[in-house]
Amino acid sequence: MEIHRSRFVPYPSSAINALAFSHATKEKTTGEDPSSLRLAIGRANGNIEIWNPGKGIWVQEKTFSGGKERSVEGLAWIQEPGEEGKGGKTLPGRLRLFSIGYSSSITEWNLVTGLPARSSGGNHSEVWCFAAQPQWVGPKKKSSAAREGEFRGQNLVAGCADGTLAMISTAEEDLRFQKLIARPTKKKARVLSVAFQDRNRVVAGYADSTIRVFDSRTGESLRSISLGSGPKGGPTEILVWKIRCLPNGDIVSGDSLGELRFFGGESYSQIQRLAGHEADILDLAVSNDGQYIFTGGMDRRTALFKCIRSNGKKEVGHGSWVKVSHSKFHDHDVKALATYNGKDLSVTVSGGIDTQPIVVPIREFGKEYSRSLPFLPQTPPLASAPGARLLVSWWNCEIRIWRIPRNTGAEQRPKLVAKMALLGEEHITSAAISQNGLVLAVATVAKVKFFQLASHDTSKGEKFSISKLHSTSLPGATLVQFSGNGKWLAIITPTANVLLARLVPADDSNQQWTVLPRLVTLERSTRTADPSSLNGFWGNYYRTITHADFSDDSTVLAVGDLGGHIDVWVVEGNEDPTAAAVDVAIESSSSTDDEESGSEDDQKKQSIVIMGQHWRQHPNAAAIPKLDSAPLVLSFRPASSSSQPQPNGNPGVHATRHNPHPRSHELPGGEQRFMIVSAKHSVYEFDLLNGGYSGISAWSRRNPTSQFPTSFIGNKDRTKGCVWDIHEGNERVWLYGVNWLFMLDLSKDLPDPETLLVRNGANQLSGQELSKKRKRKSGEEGPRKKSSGAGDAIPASNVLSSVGKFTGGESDESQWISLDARLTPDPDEDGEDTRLILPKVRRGVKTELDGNEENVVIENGTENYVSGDASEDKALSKRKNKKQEAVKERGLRESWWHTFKYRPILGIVPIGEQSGPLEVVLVERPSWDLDLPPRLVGNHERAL
Amino acid sequence: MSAEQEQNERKRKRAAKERPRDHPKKRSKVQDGDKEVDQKAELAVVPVNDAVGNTAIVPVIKKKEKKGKKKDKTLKTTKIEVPWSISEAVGGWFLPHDPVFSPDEKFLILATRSYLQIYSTATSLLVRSLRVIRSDITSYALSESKPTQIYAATAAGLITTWDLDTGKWLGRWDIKSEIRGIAAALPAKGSQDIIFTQEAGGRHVINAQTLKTDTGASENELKQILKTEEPIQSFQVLSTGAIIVVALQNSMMIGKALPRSSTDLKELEYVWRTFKIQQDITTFHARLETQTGPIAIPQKGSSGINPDSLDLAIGCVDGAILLYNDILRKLTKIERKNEKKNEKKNEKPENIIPRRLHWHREGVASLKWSVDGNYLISGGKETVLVIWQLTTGKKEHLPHLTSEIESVVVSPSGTSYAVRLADNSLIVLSTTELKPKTSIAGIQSRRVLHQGSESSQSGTLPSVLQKSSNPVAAYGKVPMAVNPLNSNQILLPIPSSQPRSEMSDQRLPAPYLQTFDISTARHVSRQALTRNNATNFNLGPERLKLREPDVKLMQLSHDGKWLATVEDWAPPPTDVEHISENDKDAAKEQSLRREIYLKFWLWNHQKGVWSLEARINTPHLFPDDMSTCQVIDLVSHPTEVGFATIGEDSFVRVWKPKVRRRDGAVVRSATSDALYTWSNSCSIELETSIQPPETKKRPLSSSLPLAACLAYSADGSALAATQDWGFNTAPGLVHLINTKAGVVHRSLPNLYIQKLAALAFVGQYLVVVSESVTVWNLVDDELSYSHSINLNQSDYTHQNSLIHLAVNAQDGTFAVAFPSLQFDQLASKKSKAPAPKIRKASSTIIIFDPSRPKPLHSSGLPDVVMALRPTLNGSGYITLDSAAEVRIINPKSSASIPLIGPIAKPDQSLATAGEVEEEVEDMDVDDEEEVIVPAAVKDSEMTDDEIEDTENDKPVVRPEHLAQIFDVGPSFAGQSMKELFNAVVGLYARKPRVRWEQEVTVGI
Repeated sequence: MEIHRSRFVPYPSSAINALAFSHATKEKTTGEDPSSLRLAIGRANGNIEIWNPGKGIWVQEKTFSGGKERSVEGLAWIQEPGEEGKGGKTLPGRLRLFSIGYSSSITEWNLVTGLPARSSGGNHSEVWCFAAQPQWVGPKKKSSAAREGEFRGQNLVAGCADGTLAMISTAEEDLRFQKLIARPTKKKARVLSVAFQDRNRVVAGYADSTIRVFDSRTGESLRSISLGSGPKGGPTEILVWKIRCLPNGDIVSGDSLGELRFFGGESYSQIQRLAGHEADILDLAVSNDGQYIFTGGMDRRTALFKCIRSNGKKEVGHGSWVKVSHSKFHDHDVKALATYNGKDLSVTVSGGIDTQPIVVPIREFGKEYSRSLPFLPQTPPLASAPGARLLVSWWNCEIRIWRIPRNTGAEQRPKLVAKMALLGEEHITSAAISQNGLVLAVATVAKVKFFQLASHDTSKGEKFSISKLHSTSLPGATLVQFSGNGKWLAIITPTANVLLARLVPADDSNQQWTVLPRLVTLERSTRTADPSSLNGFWGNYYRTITHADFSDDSTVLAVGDLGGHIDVWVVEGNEDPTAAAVDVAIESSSSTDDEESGSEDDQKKQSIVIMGQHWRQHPNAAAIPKLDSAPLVLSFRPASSSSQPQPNGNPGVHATRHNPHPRSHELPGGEQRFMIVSAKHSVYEFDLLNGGYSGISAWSRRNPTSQFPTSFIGNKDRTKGCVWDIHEGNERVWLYGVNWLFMLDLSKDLPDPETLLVRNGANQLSGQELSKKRKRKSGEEGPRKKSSGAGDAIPASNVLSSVGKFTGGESDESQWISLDARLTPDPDEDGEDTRLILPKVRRGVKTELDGNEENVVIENGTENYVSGDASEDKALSKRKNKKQEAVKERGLRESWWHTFKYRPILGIVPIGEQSGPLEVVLVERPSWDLDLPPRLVGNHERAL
Repeated sequence: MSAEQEQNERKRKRAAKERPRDHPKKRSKVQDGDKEVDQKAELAVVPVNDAVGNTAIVPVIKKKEKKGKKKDKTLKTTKIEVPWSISEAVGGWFLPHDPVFSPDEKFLILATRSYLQIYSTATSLLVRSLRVIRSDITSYALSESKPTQIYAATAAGLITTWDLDTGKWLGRWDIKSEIRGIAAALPAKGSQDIIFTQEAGGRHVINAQTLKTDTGASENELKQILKTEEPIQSFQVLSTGAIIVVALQNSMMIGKALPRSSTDLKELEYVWRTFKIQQDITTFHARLETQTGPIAIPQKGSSGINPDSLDLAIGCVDGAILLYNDILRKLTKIERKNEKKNEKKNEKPENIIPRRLHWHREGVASLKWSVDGNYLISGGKETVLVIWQLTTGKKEHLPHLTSEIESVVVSPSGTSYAVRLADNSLIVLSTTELKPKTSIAGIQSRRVLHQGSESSQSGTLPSVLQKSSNPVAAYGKVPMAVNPLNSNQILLPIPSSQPRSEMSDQRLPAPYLQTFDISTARHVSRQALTRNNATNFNLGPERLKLREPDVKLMQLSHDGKWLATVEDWAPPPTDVEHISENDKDAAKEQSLRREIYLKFWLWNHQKGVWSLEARINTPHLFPDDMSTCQVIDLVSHPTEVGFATIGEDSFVRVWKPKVRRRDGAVVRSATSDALYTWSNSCSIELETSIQPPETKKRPLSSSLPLAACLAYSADGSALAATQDWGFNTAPGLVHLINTKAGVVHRSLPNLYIQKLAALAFVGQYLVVVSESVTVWNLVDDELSYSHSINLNQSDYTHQNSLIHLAVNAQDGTFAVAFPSLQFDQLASKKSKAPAPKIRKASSTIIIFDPSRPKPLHSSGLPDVVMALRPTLNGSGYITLDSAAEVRIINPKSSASIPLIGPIAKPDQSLATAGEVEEEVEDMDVDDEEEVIVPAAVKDSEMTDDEIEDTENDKPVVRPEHLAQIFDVGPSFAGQSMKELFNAVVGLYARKPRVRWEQEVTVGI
């Protein structure tokens, strides 16, 4: 593989302004972390990213794209009260996400489409901060439960630039200005932060060194706390940047002096004052048990404070909070923090101007590393036209097109051939370029636009021209994808519909391509949605399509959604240029001859036939199993040119029954193999032609995820994409995440994990040693599974993890006691063992369960791995061992390979002709390449 | 007294010393003493301990004749007519041990190698010193049962105890293994201290024992309470021995005593809990907080938990401080939970997160809790005392201390902090104002720690010894000078600080001047001679320490008013590497950037400092390329103000002051002193290079003299100069320069062959020291005699530069001191070994009369002599050695410098020790009694053993006493002139003591 390692793509990551977890606590009924737990990250360019932290996987699921001059300055989630569902079950309340920007309105987001749903009005000034009311808690005593008609939702309170506090009602699935709680202050001091002390008391921190407490029902001012004046030589006013309330009602504030102050919840008198930062504290987050406070500030520190209440004492007194430690995770100001402290997940996420979210453990603080999440988008904003050697990248409203020269040895730099800025406010969500580099499709949530690219060789060199293709108004899209031949464009709308646009190529390059006005709407199979808080009144969140790909011969389209469902469509018939461009036929679904699940409804459907081709659901589609998690990579394997002739574009080859009828029901016979990598690092290969009923290919059956090397499974960063290497009989796929690159050879089976162990260790490992290793390995895996959601466990830590105890003075007699509570055996482990046996069986191994199991397994494993069952006799020959070793070494070496050399990877796209050896452009965006504004504090210090 | 008699007397004394003491309840009697000493006596050189003081009158005790004969034989070599004696060591470095406050905080106990020094915190004076014999002190601790009793442990395994108040020797026990630490605790039920000792050697053990001093019949008990694989760094005993905290290299152990029914030591049993820390531990301090409020209701099953909470602060090598609050309770809680884990599965134990305080850039050297537990006081290399206010997260700094902090101690009442610094000084600060109350400083001269001597007992930071190419460089000469105005004072250039953590073989630059009074063993003053950066940020970008200029040569003028210094600074090789192309160029670039200043300082009476009068940049230049060349020797004119230098350029330059005149009138300073300019009055060129025939073709400038020496004759009329080129063909040519004419008067060839070390005039004799001591009679122009020096030479080292020569003009003797170094054989066997390590170092001093070839005296010293000067008021010599100890060698009959010891008399209670005059009175009455002082001798053994015979009937008047008279406030508020006069006369004329007491009250 030839790699063009490139850093020229100026993708600007955007600063993190706000972070918010959708839930504050674990679910009360089950005690588990809610499956609908999401983290919203608001960025300075107006994007809101929805991350799924699920058990420490941290996948960026969705991006609500922003627009010009839009910035997310604050985020808040609320959850509607649960509803009585069928059969007395309580349906979880719907989640609603709100954001503020530099305006006087609050915006509510449609979680399904990723579009703004509505925004509040009100004649108050700009909103600086806002907070959601705490959830309504049913009174414990029945007697006081009688208050009918009480609002049980969560209203919002907005703090404004002129010092007003406005109550925004969220009742009735709406967002309306309700009333003003506080009038503007005399000095019109800004409200910098606002928090609810309980459901009715609102605490607001102002820019005039004051904290004011109001009753939200009456607007009565309960108390005004002054923080005094600033230090000598500095500004006189202390800015109360952040205010939060502890579960026991106490108020904590972080201010521009870098101090934390604690105030009693009832007395409103100062309890304690703690210095911890060298500069302003910009945000603070309180863990839900009120035991930990994280602060972040302009000195780039993230500090942890802990409550050391002495035993038995309920009230918090002076000196009960202490600073535990601080570290500099970020390269620039830390602007936002959010915590979630549940059953398994127990993390604080911090973000700032350096655009990188950092996950810090709470409960396991000091025992686990912090972890930085990728600051680059999950879906690479890159596309390439390998044939034309063009690379397209986009961000915000801009598009850049480069031509990548061949690596001839001479110094040839990639040439920027075109620079485009899209008109309109919306940011680009996706772009696609056809394989031959002639057509470019650019999508925003408002519109999809086509451009025709042409390059002319003039005397002065290459001249590149871009012209917009006229088309009827196309809907907005979150994802666009060209088919291999460039004739079809799959458009995934924000409402998760799949549309196909047909492009008709021009005969010669001077003419414009045409876009057929009629779009094909592909039906997705209906699936019953699990009740989830994320499924709002807008629809099913999990139906959001994140990936779409055409097969190499443009006959099959597969899409995957967040729920892990795969939909596959296939085109019937061959292209017939003579047929009518668009032909709408009315057909009843019963006319199809297979037993589709949806066949019972005898509704009449419109069926659109374009140039003799008709898209319909793949016959095997319904049988494709639901994935364990959302797919992160969905990619068809390109047809290896040697094995399969190109069936399309040459109708003469198909001498099968060519109907005079304009419609053909013939299904294409090309390769229909595609690979999926899910968010849980499971790799599946589907082969719709040969894969049997479920469509899972034989390779994938032999090599389930458990068989994968730990260097792949252990990667914390998720897969971003893949490129295929099918040159000269190769069957390799290169998967990559933000920091890693992993090669997988699909022509070979992966070695057994046990064999791997043997190889990694010395070759002459005795069985005992092996079993030791195995034990240790399982021991290592245990904690990782139980990770709190941040990084790996720190091997040597100052936090006490084990204590030796001995009596009598001989230290070598000490017994080491682990302080970890995670001693309970993991129930999953047994299940995994049985799963491990299956692939062995599929590979033809008889597992023997006697004492020397390991050795036997190794031998058999390698043998079969080398040459399948045919080698049984050979293996018994005298030179068995030598050969085995040699082949094993080679085979093991080649079946997979990985590197961490490239980081962070924005994306990898193939470039160059398919016939040649694989040539890719690997775009890196090193963090030091980020254009950070100058620091206010400690600018002279070296970044760590 | 004939020589035989004296020898016999020595024997007797020794016998007296080794006589078994009358404390039969020692754990084990010191029995092997006899053998040891006899072995020592067989050495040619008399060990110091035995050579100290010879005239004490001791009871005669019969001794075995056989041994006495043997010793007579061996000692004959050193026998001389006039017996010379070596005084007790003065000065020395304080041990790396936390200073100990007496319970009433009136006294502070410090220790040097062989003394426990008790200082008064009110006056900073040494009140008493207690001498430990035969080994070096490693640790000491106050008793808990009797607060005036102190225990001191030595590396040889002896524990000695004294009563602090009276200085009375109470007992001694032999533990028979190397003791590294000692602590005493008084168990809750019992009246007897339990002594905890940390022992090293083959095993690492903490023992608990009772040591009975009274005549009780019961045996001393011993119980081993901890044995570890790793070496123990330090330990702390808390709560009357109920809790012991032990620090190993990177783990902590906390031992909790199990309840025991009786006071029997056998039942003492500890439950140990140990845990690891990520970094190496440099220091720790534990604190037990007793809950004062209503005791929390014990929860179910929590009985047996100590209601006190143990807070542990650990200083790490990366500068972080880890704070574990209430650690013991948390640990036990978790253990209990683990035991019952089947019952409560879901409950997770509390995560024991330490608080991490990180301000120190480098390892925390010392760390202490305040008494109330609200503050943490720490110090380290940054010369900043940090006071952490734990409840507010704020910290207070006391920056710009003179040197790195080595240990911090909070006084028992919490009202003061004692801070021991790396420049061998200690200050006691008041907690409220952070102002010094007490300041104690020892000799701060350069000292050398070689491996195996002291590094093993370093308590805190792991020492990183850098290896230099020349292991003896650290022993280089210290240009000490004796002040002619006050012959008790020595002046010596000193390094800014010598932290134990970075002791290396490298020669530390000495940018400061210390004035030290030998007689009272007190630091007098300290001033900077060159630019320096002790307290600023002193690391370069590569984290290498910035190097200060080094005062290499120093001389006082004959009248003591002028001081000439030569300082030398060159950029470190790493800084010029990038400029140069190869190594040779690097050396050249370095020498091009070398800065050498000759500075002349005038003593300023008003301010009491040396003020810089003139600075001559590059006093010697190479004539061909005008580059700086080094000054090799500097001498002072013996009768008038003037100095002479010789440099690598083969020039001798004579420097003289001139009164500054403007239009004929003398220019005067503000204080109407005449101002002087210094200039080069004449320069004499010597032979530039005597080329051996076979190398004649080499350019002249390529060779530099290896050594060069200058010497003035006693009247200053002649100046002898010689250069050693290192060529065999040009043997030692000594030029005699007529200083009046400034010409070479005569050249004497063949006075030495090579390896020139020193040159001096002794009356009519010229003494040249090289591989041998050559005495040339100038009047008769013939060789008087030659005496060879036996140096343990090694190829790697240039030990000739370590030979010292001093001439005492008063009695016409001269002394030669040379080191004897033992190298590690393993290292020197390999041809490419970087440098041999010095295993053991000592030195020999020989005193000659130039007219007689037989040395007057020869003796050995335990450390390497780094400076040797004659005393100025009488015959004798002052030596300064690599342990920064000063000794005076003089003939017994003449006491040149009286050594005034601590102010408290033996058996005098410390409470009354301020009233020194009583003793003076006594001495006056009883002229025969010779117990003057080294009051070291509190040990009853010592009193009848070795007593310094500084015969002196002059009253001892300390500057403090005078100050007390004069510093009573503004003049109008003070006494009348008459009273003042009476007070002063009272001091010197020894008026009745009533008078004195009155003055004391006035003074206070």
